[in-house]
Amino acid sequence: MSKLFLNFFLLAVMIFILKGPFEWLVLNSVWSGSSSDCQMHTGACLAFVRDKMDLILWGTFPGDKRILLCGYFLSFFASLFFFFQSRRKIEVKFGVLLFSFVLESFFLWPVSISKWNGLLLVLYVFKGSYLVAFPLGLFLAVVRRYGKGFWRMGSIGLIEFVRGMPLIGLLFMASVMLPLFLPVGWEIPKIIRLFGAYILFVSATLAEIFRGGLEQVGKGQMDAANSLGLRWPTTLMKIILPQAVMPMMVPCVNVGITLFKDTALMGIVSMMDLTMTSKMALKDLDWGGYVTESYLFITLVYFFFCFLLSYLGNCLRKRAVIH
Amino acid sequence: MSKPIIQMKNISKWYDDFQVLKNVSLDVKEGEIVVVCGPSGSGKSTLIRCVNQLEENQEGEIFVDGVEIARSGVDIEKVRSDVGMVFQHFNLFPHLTVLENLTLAPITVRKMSKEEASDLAMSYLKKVQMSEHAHKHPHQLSGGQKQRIAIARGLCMRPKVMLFDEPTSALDPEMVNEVLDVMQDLAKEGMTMMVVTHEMSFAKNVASKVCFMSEGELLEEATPSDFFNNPRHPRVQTFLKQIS
Ligand SMILES: Nc1ncnc2c1ncn2[C@@H]1O[C@H](COP(=O)(O)OP(=O)(O)O)[C@@H](O)[C@H]1O
Ligand SMILES: [Mg+2]
Repeated sequence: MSKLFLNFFLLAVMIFILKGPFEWLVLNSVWSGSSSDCQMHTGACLAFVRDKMDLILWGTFPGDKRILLCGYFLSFFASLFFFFQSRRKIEVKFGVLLFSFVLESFFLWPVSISKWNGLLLVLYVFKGSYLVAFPLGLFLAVVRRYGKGFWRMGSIGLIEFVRGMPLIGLLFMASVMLPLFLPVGWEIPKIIRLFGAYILFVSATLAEIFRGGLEQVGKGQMDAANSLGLRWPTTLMKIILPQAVMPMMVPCVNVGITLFKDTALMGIVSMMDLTMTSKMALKDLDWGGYVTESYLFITLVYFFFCFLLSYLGNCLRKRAVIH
Repeated sequence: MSKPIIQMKNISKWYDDFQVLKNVSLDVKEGEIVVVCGPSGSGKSTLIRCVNQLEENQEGEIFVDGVEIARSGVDIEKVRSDVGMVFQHFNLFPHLTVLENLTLAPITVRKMSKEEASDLAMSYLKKVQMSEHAHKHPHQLSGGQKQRIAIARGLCMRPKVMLFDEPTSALDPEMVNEVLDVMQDLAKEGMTMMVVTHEMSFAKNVASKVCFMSEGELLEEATPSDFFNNPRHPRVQTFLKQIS
């Protein structure tokens, strides 16, 4: 009886909360037309999103080169699904991912890098930095765990320094401060500097995850490998890393999802990411400032990709069980 | 007079100020089964782990098949590949199948082909009666089965000597004998073995020599019949009383 009452109560609360958004998004929204059509209604102006979708997603990417994007996305999604769904060895899967990234760079080559805007920029920076950060993080963790002297101190110093910085601070350093310190005549493209910042940040985060993985490998494993006469590289590659990395794949995917969302910070150092392209769209005087609609749209885009990653990561979880 | 496979001369080892091994000397000759026993914490594991330098000794010399090993410039991996070792907690590689556990070292260290290594591994699996488990993972096996696999893994390297560090201590009682049987078969075939164990029946029936350690010292070294029937050292007498 009280359960029934509670259900009704919750239903009433939900209706109360969702009524407004529902009316705004569904009942009173405008799906096509122009700015003046929108002004006659109180609901969402989805006509604006439809009109500006191209601009928000691709920014200034030239219209006549769109065919290149097909190649890019084909490679992007194919490699993503291969990585998460294939049962091959992780080295193979990683190699395929790396190869696909190079391939994608070639696809986009005909277009100047400053025109890789919006979603393209987000995906490119996401994949590129994660691909470099993953092995780098593993390397840092191994050096921290098994290295000696200078190497070990260097690894600890780098990890702790980067972990003590907010990502936005690293991005500012890369975009504003680094050029001041470079010798005259030296110039590193901004996108590369930002790549550097993301790579550092993510590899330090991953290094700490891998450290946890390495510490879980029993001491007896090393004894057994040594007693068989295995040399250190073999022991590391065949015994230690498989046991340390595989159980950590799920947290690693989580770092990937966080990185994906953190690509939005590029807008702050004036890169043309999704936030900035939607700002560009909002500047159009023919349309009023439909801020909510445009942010809702990029929210959906981010949600789609994060959900996809999270879903694929869960498939991994089922398989990564190591005994 | 058979040649010594392991020669330890005046081994001493310290952990900081604590001396674990005190001037221990011990020989294991070809075909001999040397059993080392003694109370817990007396340094048995440390001693046997010095033989393949899983632990470093600070003083003394160790020769394996005539080669002095605790010296810089020695290819220690090469020495280790000729010395098999079986641990108390099996230490199988959990991410590999039984067959892969056995073939990894022959392939990477002995540079065998995959087929050759598999054939070799299967022959040793048959010997420890585990052929039908070749494609399982270690977590699917019982303790006794795991230890038999661990023995087979060591044998696949065709070692000159096998070291056993309490191979039956982590097993449920009903599985102890299946492992001891395998070890006994090995002994019959002439394998040289150094065994740390509390299984006195094994010491009585199989050993060529029984050693007793206490607080880092090797107190007694005798044939099984001397060791069990008229031990000289009073510590050995109390130890034998305690465990019988
Ligand atoms: N890594 C270590 N650091 C300090 N002391 C140790 C270490 N390993 C073993 N010991 C000590 O050395 C002594 C001998 O240990 P061990 O060889 O394992 O004895 P046993 O195998 O006879 O039980 C024990 O008192 C133990 O506490
Ligand atoms: Mg011990």
